[in-house]
Amino acid sequence: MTSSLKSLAVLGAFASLVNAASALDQVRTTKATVNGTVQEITAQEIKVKKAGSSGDVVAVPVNEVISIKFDGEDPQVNLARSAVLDGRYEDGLRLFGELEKKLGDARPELQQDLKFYQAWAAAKLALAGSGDVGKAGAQMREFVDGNASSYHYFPAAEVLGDLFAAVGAYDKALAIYDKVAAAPWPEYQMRAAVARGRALVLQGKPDEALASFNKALDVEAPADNPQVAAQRLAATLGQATCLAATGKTDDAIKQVEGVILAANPEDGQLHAQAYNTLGNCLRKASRPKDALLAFLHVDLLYSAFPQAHAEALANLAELWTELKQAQRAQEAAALLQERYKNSTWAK
Amino acid sequence: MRRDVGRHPTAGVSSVPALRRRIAVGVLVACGLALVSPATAAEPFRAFLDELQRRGMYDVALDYLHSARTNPLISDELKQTITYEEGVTLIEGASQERDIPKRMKSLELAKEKLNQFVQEQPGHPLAGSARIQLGNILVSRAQADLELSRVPSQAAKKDSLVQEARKLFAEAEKVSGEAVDLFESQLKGFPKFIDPKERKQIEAKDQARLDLIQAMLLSALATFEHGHAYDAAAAEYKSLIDKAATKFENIYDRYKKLLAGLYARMYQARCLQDLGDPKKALTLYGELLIQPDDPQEFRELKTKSLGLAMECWNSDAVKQYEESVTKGQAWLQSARGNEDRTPDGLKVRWRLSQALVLRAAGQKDGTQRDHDLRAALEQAAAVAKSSGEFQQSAREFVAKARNTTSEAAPTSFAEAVEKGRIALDTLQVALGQLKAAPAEQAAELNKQADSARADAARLFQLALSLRTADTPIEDVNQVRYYQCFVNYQAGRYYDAAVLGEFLARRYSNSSYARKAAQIALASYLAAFNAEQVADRQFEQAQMVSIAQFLGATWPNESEADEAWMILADLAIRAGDLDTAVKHLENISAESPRRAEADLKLGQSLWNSYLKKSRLPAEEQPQADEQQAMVARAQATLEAGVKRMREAAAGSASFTLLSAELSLAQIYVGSGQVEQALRLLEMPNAGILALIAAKDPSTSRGNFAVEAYKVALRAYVSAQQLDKAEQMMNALESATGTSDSAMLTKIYLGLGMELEDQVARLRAEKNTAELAKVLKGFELFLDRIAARKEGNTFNSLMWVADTFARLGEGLVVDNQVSPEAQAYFGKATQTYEQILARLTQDPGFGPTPESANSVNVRMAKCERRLGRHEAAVKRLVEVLMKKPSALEAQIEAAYTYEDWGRLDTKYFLAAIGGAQRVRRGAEQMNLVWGWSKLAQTVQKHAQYKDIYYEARFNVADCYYRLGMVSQGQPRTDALAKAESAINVMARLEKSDFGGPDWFARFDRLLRQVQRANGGKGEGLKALIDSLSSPVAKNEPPAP
Repeated sequence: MTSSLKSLAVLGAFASLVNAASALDQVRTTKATVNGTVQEITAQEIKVKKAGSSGDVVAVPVNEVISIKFDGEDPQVNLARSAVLDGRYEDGLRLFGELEKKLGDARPELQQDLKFYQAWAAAKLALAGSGDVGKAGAQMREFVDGNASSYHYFPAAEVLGDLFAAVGAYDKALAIYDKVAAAPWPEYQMRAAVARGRALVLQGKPDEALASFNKALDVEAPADNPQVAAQRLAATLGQATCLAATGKTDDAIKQVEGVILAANPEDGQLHAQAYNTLGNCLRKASRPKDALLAFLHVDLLYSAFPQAHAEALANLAELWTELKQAQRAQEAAALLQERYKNSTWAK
Repeated sequence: MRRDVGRHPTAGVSSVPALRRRIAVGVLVACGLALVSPATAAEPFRAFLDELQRRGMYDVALDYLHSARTNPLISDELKQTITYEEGVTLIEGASQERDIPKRMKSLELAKEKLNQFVQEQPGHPLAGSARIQLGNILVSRAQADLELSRVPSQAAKKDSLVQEARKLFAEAEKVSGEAVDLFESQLKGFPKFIDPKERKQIEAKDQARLDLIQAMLLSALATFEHGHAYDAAAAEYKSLIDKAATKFENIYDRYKKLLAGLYARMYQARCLQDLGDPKKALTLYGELLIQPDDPQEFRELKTKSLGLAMECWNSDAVKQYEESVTKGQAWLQSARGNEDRTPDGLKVRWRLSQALVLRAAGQKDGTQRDHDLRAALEQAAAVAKSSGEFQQSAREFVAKARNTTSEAAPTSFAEAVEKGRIALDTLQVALGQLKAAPAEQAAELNKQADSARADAARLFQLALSLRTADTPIEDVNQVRYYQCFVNYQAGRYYDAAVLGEFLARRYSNSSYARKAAQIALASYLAAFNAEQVADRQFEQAQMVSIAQFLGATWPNESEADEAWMILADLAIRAGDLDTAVKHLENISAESPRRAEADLKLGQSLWNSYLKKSRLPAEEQPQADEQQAMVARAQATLEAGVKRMREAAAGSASFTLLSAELSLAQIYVGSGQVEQALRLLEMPNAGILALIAAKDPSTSRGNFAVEAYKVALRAYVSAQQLDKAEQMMNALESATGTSDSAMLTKIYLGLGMELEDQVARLRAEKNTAELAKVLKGFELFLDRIAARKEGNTFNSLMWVADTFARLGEGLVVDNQVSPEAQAYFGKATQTYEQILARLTQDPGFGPTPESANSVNVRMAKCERRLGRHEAAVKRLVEVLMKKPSALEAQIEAAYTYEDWGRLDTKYFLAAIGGAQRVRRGAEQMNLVWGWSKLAQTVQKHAQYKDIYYEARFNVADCYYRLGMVSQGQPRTDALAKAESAINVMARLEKSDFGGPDWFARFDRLLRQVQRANGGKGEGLKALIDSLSSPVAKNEPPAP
């Protein structure tokens, strides 16, 4: 071997080393990124053989996983995934649509990811009123039924439940939330109980709903977990809704005010839900002007959260009408139709 | 390109209060401070309030502030600022309020709130800012005056309003300039470097800086607005806008790193734009448009600047439509949240729409042009959906654009409604244009309106037929409301009324219910006023019913009050005062219309009293009843005037002053002269003071003349003769020496009022007051008659006539008392004096025939003095010169009638005429008598009253003749009297020249009937009998 070839061989060895270093799956979690090779995926955990000399296999709990970047994936996959994770669902769907043909031969985990993100984005758009709930439901149901071992299984199941609830199929929604409740993590158990409670409220069963929200609050969970804290506040809002539905509007209002006082000022989603709940309680208490102010908070300050915004606009259209402000009622109704025409609130 | 006219120059830019928080953020961010600490951020108080204001929801913002006082989510620290925030919100809200009186009311309330805040919390960090806002109120008030001056109905006041606005702007400049000096010196009082540990001192210095910046901005804005109070061609305009530009530039130079400095830069650019240099302005806007988008306050500044820059790019001087489109679309793509629905966002969208239209006009490629026009339509449609500055223009644009394209018939409810609304918009645009259109365009616009109206009616009908079970009932009611409006518009009043009532009563919770009820009311009113409607009871009953419904369903709204006012007007017009009173009493004491209702009621009561006091003694109400009427009229008017004075808060309107004038008339008429003078002479804001100051509110109609008349009577009654003479001179000046006929009419009216007053006082046996009035006038008239200089034909005629009127006031049942004789004697002397002057100088009188008029009046005095022969001789002389002189013919007939009391043959002369003379080949009566007088004037509508007077006197003369005759002559005369009225009844049916003449004929007929041995059934029974089938020879109904 000539020196030049040697040097080429050295270079080649170097190149393989470099490739080996970059040819890793990257599991992004709420705590760190785990680089290595994904060996096994279940609905509860992801086993990763860590890169490096030790070659240890670590089990990453799914509730900590944010996303997985698979070895050798097309750079556009990451763009599409980020779009969905950032809530830019239409962009995400477009990018994934372009990738479908390219990824025909991709590894199964990546294809599963693609299906999940597409179904997720469609579901979110449908729930926000700008997509078809029926189609999105079918898509997500196909994913849930066919991918019980996906690390996306529990979030997918929860959203499928939300889609069932959105079309009034409450029994199906409750059944699927029960599956989410089987997750081993307290925050998921809480999420399931809160979601179940909301579906029961929509079904007109405030007592059963209250029991479900109480159950969410009874879950033992670490207080420093921000997801747990958010679910606690969501459950408290649910309790308030039930109290209002049973005529205890003063208690309900105080409870919501407590949530607003305790909430992180930057948590717009929670504030949006809280002000909608407050508005609903005030309407039940026959205080239309105060209710109007509560819903206006969502319209003016938290309109970035489509589901909550649609709910607020629907209420505002009614309240403006009740308060004899036809022009403003029309404006709210027009905006609801323009932005969230497929939302249940626009029907 | 269409310009947005009638808007304030800074409309849509920003006001000082609106800038306050942005500047505050700028200053505090620059100082490394946060406005709201997380600990107090449970309720996003400021963010929500800002957003409400940004969206123009000032009413909601005020509700929010009201509820914030008890909101447990809001900290006590923030609660302390609520009164201040209310003041600021009211000022901002006022700037968007189109109804100027409402705007003034908001500003007044804002002033109260800010004063309250300063008084209660003088040491609060916002106290300085509150004082600046008080200065800002001056600017807002001036803007309101300026806007009012542009309203066509205020044309008469235009100059004074503009002057007032300029005065207020100048005052605002002065006040803000002083504030700048004060805050500047306060700021200098702080050390340049403050130890970071001295937090309080740092905060105080920041606040002082913030106050200074606000004061500087207000000062510059006041100058800017002051400039806009002048025509753009005026030297003052240029000078003031230049000055404002310099002030803004100074602020920018000093604070260019702060948001306030950048706002000043934007205003500086706006000044350049207004001075006709859009290119230079664009250079400055360009500096602002490259600022970052965060924090949000910078983004808002950029949006405002973009709207203004787009105006420049779209202008004829620049024509950079491409730039306008590119920048507008880029902004729209990056719009955050509801940004595109804010007033600034809507402005950008509207300017973008305009830019696209302008660009389309230059596109050679048809596809590109269509694309631009579609995009323009899309933007305009979005603007048309939101209320705001450009909504109307956008609606007009959309209606016009969509109307030019043919479209297929709608196939769904929503589609039919949408198209129906476009047709409705087109209709309203056409109707709006019709108001100002020249005659040659009116026909075309009417055609457009008819076509749009028909389309709208068809499409709304179609929409209702396309509704499904799922169609929300509110949407259906919206269509019903539109149908109701279209029917009203088309003059189909009963259709409109039925639809409106159905919607209002069946769906009273609908947001369209109230407006539908209003249309129903207006429809019944229109039907009531329609000529072809003979029986109006139905319409009137429906209106009452709707008014009751409005009051019961929406007790706190103004519509019911409006309805009661309309109904009261109708009742007053029909002479049914009791009903009018009942209607007006439905208006609650808290209603803003209460004062107006009081005034209307008071004036109606007074007029009713006057009318009843003129009835013959036997038909007049009892004295105590009359007193009660006066007292009630007076009390009601006093209450109304008090309410209106309080509401006017120091300023005076025409309505208020005319009400005060009515009250003064009551005072004078009922002998309360001191009260009258107190009202008339009120310093600064009283009637005479405002007339002297040439206040515009006194320039309408003949207000000043009426005021002088009342004042003259009041001064005379109070025997303040110098002042009375001043009023008399003022009266002549106000009328103008050239309009002698008008002055004669005024003096005549004054004399009649005095005669009425004397007669009333006499009838009421108010001898003390009567003596006072008579004495006062006697002294005054003697004084005027005796003055050697300054007397004119009119002033002397007034003296003579007034003596005569004083005499008439003392005549009872044709009995002339010695006091009355004395006045008639004085009148005669004065007339003689006038005739002597006319003989010496024929030009002394206003016309060559002035002597005739004097002779006729003198003859009347002679009649009253029993000198019938002399009177007839004088009148014959007049008639020889001019046989058709009606004034002389009437007086001659009266003279014979009066003479008939002494010798009955003259009754017949009064009826049939006398003084036969030969005219050519014919013999004729020079004095016509009442019969010929009636025949002569019968066909002339302008002599309607003379006709009835003559017909009445024919019957009256026969009655009087009968009453002094015996036997057959008596029977014949009374039969003729009855026959004369019978003929009238057949001729007149039920009209009889109005209620007054009807009453007089009725009274006479009853007397005649009783004299003939009948029961005195009166005129109505006679008319009824004439209209029965038997009387009309008609067959009875099957």
